[in-house]
Amino acid sequence: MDTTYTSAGTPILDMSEEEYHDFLDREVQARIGLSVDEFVRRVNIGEIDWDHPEAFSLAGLVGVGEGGLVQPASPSGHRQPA
Amino acid sequence: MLNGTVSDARLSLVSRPYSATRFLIGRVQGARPVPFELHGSSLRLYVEHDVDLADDKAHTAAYRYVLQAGDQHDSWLVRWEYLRDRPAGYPYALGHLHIRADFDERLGESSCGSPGIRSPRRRRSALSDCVDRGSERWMRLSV
Repeated sequence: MDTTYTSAGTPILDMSEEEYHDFLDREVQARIGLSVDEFVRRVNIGEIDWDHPEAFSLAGLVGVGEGGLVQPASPSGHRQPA
Repeated sequence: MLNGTVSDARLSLVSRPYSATRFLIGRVQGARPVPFELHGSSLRLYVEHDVDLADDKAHTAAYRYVLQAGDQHDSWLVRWEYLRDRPAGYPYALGHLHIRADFDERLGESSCGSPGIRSPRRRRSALSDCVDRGSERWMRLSV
């Protein structure tokens, strides 16, 4: 993992794909007891228990839609109207 | 803004290798996201905020702000969460507030897991109504 800093001193952490996968895997395992791959699989086929207190937040951490591993409910993202 | 106001803890930007434009903002120590200490309180604040950078602007993709009693995730007291895109089968509002609460009939107050967070019964707000109705230890409120 490479660390650089903004001019304001904020660290920017750059992880390889493998490091980032491990980063997500540790969090999903610790919070819900699944591997990140299994969590993503269950979310994408609609078999996750959304009443688990960590499920929603882990979907956010893993990422939904473009730039994430979880597929959105529709191609447009099925975004909630403002 | 959090640095130097409610906490001296330093937030980091974590780049996502799956996307050239998405970053996670949070406090990361030892390659794990952790909550940070708050000035004048033993409570912790846990922050996960995902942004997409486009056109020199940061667009929120998701966030999670959690006030918790300690370092562990299961010590949460209040969770304010949002996802921009709905995952398949997710049935609830994409932005919501969770409050860990029990109704205390003896006191006539709703105690939200901490003696410092109370909602007086006689001041009927949408929040206290919802808390009063709930017998579960946590509930969802659309915001």
